[in-house]
Amino acid sequence: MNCTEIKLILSARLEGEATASQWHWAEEHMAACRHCAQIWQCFQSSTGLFKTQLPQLAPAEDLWHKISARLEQTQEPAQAIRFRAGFRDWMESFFPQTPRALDLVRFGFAVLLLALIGLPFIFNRAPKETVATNSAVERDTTLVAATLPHAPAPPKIEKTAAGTGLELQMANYLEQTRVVLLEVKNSGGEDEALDWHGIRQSSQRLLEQTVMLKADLKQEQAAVLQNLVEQLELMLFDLANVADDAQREEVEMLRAAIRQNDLLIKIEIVDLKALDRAAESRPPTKRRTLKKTII
Amino acid sequence: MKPAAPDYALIEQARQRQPEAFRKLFEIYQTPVYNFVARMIGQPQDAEDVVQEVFVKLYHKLATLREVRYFTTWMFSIAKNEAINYARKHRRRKWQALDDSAAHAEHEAVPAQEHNPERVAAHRELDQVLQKALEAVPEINRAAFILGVLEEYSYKEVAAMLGCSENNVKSRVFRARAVISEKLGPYLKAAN
Repeated sequence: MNCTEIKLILSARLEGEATASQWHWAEEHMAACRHCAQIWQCFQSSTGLFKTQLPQLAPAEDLWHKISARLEQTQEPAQAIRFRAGFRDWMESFFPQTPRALDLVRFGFAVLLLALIGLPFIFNRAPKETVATNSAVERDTTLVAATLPHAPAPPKIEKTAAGTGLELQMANYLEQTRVVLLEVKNSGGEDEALDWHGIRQSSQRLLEQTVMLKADLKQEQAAVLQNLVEQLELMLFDLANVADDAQREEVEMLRAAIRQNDLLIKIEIVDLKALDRAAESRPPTKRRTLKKTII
Repeated sequence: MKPAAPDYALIEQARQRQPEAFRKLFEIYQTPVYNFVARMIGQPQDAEDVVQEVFVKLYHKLATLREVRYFTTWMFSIAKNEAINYARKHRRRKWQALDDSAAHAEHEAVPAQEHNPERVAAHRELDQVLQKALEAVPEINRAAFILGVLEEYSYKEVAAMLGCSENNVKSRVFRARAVISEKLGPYLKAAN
């Protein structure tokens, strides 16, 4: 035992809380440790002083009058007390053997109340949904940028409260596609090897998104956007299937396709606000259907 | 000083909101609660306000006490919380020496026949020294020290009052004692 443990025993000993064996160890330790022996003396003296010298205080005689006056002021109406006692007796008549039954009933009421309060939040999650979509957009854009380190940083997507989930999804999809296409288009040097593995991965992920987007755009009757997504899908399909040891001619053909179809320009000038306008002009029932599709 | 074993029948009656029973409970426990609070906050006059709060709370919450055998533990835990709340609110105020408490003192440690001015002055000085030493102890350790050492409750009871383990109480009392011994060190050396 070290000095700290012995001191704990010494302190407990003064209140009779140390066992005989503990005290035996402490005595043995003190025989060899002068410091602990001094501490023991000090503890004894200081405790003795407190117990003998500190006066026992008595409260003022009118303390009860003050308390009873306050109790009268804050007295619960007799009717309420009777009601509570009656309710308790009534509950105990149902569960005579279980004194905690009342607690269980209270707990049940509390759960029910919380459920009633919480239900509207569970079924009306529109604002939260937009936030979740926003974070997904940020995450995906960051992922593409990380996969393609040489690609220029994508411009920040403007997130507006009015923006629909589909608009944000579309914006995110276009940004990611733009990053991939730029990576391919701008790599032209002789000794500059493209990271085809990263490009393939990004393209495949974007192709997966394309299926959902096309369905949603069709439902929204956004023909221009749907057409653009279909063009990008073809390009992404080519990029997703490029081999690691792609020949120079093959890469040149891909670059030419990007240029000839003006894919980057089309991404730049596309008007996503059209989606908003289309959504606003539609009756609210259809809008709800769209939300469900996004989920 | 620790009161006698609690009268469970009386506590049960008080729980049924019988005013006379509650008054009897107050008479039994007012002194230990008052002493505890006064030592915790160091202000006898203000201690009365805190004790009022404690007993008003006790009265209103007594019906929620499930087991009457835990009454004392429960009462001191309320007193501890009230005292700590008070101390935190009035932390900036200086700890006053308990000079004024002479009027409140039930009995003086100095025997009556030795009440000469020098003796009384020395005794008051010692009171001040002890109070200041107690003041130096952090609140939570102070509560353990007052309940375990001055009020003479067992560590098990103190543990229930403070909502901690017995080992924790042991440790808190030890820490309080270490601080007090350090503060009283010069005084003890001079006295020896």
